[in-house]
Amino acid sequence: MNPRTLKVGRIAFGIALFALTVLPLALVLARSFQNPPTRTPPPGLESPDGPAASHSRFTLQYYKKAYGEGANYRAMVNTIVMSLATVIFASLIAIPSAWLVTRTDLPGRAKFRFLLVLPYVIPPYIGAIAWINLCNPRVGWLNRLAGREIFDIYTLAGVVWVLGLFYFTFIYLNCVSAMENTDPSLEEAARVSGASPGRVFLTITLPLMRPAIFSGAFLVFAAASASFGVPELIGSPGHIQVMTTRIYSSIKTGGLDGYYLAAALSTILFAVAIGASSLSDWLAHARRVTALTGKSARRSQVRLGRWRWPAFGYVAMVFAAACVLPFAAVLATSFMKVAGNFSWDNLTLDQYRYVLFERQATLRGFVNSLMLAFGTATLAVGIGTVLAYLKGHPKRRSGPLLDACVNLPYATPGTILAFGLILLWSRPIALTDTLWILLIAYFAKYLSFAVKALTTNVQQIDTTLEEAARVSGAGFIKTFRTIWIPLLRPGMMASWFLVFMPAFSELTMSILLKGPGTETVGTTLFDLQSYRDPPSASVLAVMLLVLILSAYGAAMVLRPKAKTAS
Amino acid sequence: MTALPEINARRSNLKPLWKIALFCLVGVAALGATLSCSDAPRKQTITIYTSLYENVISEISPILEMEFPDLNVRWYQSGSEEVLSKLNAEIAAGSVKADIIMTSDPFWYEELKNAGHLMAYESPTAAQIPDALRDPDHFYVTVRVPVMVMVANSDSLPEGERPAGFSALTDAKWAGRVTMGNPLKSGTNFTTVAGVSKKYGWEYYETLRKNDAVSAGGNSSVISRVSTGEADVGIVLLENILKTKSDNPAAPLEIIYPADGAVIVPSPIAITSATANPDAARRVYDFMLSDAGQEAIVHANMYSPIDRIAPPRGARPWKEIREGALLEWSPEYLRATIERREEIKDEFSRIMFE
Repeated sequence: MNPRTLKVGRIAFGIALFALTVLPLALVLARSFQNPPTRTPPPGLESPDGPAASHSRFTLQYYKKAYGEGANYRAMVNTIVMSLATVIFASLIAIPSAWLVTRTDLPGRAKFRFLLVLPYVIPPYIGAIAWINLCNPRVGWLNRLAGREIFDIYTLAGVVWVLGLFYFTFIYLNCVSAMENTDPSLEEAARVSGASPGRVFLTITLPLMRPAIFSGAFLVFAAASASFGVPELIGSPGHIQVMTTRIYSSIKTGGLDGYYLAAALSTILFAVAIGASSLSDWLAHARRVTALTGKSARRSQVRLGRWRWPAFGYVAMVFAAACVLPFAAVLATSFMKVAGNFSWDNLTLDQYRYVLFERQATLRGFVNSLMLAFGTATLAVGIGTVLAYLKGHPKRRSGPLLDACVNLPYATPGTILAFGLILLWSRPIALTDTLWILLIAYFAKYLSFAVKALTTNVQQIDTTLEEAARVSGAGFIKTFRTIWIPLLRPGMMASWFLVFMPAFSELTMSILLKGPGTETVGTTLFDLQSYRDPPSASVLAVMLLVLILSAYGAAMVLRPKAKTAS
Repeated sequence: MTALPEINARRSNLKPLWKIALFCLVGVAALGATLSCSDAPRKQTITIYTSLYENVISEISPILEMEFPDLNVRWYQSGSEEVLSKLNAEIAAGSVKADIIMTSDPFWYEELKNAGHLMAYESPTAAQIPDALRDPDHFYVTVRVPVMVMVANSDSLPEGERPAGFSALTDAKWAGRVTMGNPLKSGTNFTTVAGVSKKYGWEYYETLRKNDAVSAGGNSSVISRVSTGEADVGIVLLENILKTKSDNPAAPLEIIYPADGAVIVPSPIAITSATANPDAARRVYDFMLSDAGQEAIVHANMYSPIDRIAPPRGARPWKEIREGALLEWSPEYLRATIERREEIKDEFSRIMFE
């Protein structure tokens, strides 16, 4: 291929990526400076203030409205406090757990390594409902068990608790994959020189984990600041408003120009996302770590000694809080006639019968979501690997535009992204109301997972391997196939699941983008929760969890074991 | 994206990688384009955007098919606010897909009308609907009436202990026991707050705030908070209570018709000015206002705006509700409320959420 074609190809790829990710957001941004379109008013209804405003007329009214109001500033402060607290809480859970399951002789560590990923498969929306059942002040199950009001979920701490318990998996997965891939000889050297396990962890392991931790931390931060379901369900009763609450309110009850005000409000979230992303990249890049040389496969375990069982207790508690409790709450609710009533005669299978057999759209939703999640995950990992290579390789460069393509859609509240996609894909290419627009939406939203996770892996891979291959005469493709892909494979698999799971149950964007016949699992969940009852929604959540768990379990069993054997 | 030239030695080998990536993207786009172009139906298509429940749609669909064999009726069904979001986005994109809209937010229709997005239609069947529930310019008409009432948890509140109406909830004995939807998120709850604040002033909500009333989510979350006993009393749509009771007779829910009057939420039907098939749209519009269409709506536990149509099973007669309503509905009230909308939302938000 000559350089010209190569350049054309590269530019085309760049344009396509831009169109799929950032362009819709650019259109939203443009709208925030415009008046909404009006058609010619019907006869007799001419507006008293002269002819209707033309579509393209420039205005700053939405910015004045958005940033002239104290409530929006307080919401912004709440958003940042909530997101930062979530990052800290998630890190406190994720980093020690990741270390314990990969590096130590923790009892049952192989099982925990797998189990701690599970919270990720529970859609946060379902998790919030489960935690409300467990910890609402008056009749929360845990409070009833204790006999008095101990827990109040309707607080900022409650929001952070629920978000953290779901999102810690971003950091956890990154750290686990990084710890499994790093060369243990550094740690061994420190240990042989007499450093205590704690010191080794703080001075060797933690710095090695830096890129993994910070890229995970960004994902947590952005996910928290763009989340709506959890802050609405838990924050609103506790009088906590965040930016997404304001944005959604503007769209849902703000009238015809609600989107325009919401777009103006979103710009500050874009700015925060860009800031957070640059900060996390900078922190992750501050010192480049190339620890995965591929030359050493031996790994020794840290002996926990008398800390073995306390550590076990800690990990077990994390697992119980993040997984067992909410899952049990969902499972129990799915068998109840009336949610929250624990008595034998309140048990029923009616909801299962209704959701699985009587309701025709359920199956269609599952089939659509399976196809979409499969397509999204494959596309995102495919393109994500290329982007991660560009981003993570020391000799490649990637511009801020690439970062924007990857990060911005992810940090954007779902409704705003969906709005942009409707703006872009209505005409001349009409994809609205098809599965394609859902595929594009999920791809844009979750590409970030794949890129972040894979970039961490690429950064850790020592390029001497690649150079060796090159010197021995291997071409780029051969090098990529024989060096990069095998080294990246665990990361690629992890990212595939990282993308698959949320895509499978995505709710916010799907509601706006679904058309007749393109229902998904998420919209089905919404319908059951809104128009049926919590037990029926729980049935769907149980089915969803069972399905994803079996897929995940199968993948774990089929996974090549050779690399992790010590 | 400037990374590639550095691999000089083996540049030609890059080709497949980029080609595959490009191929994927082009393939996706091409497939999408064909998919969207290939559906050219011989029948006329009418697309209805609605917040009517799934079960109403499955009841109406076969009747529509029988009645209009030449029409292909497609539905987009979701919450009222989601339908509004979708259509507003399509308006902004300049490509409205709906021919008919039927949701519960009356204020939105007035705005759509003023911005030129609706098509006037003086339906002969609309004449039987009270004037107060009709747009004088015929751009929309009330096709159903959700009604905001109260619900009590029958386990924790035996008869006789339940509050009589909205005004009773300011009593200190209801502290920590009352819940309602979020008017910033749910249109019917907005209509309720607009009505109650007009009738009782903002002091009403200030007292509720002092009493720690919870305002969150939509009507379904109010039902779930009351049925689990998290709250004893809720302000919620009658249809949600009736539907929960009919799906699940064990639910410990009891309707309270407020002594000071229910809040009615006249929910319109309208034809968009973007429709490609106005005649077909008018036929479907007429059908929804016909007895068959109205009865399907009543089966979904909502009132018909027409006096002679029987109320939903287990509900009081429409005339009684309409005449005893908390506020009398009129086109003037509707327009005045639109003017106050931002003020109402801001004030409520200040009182309840800060």
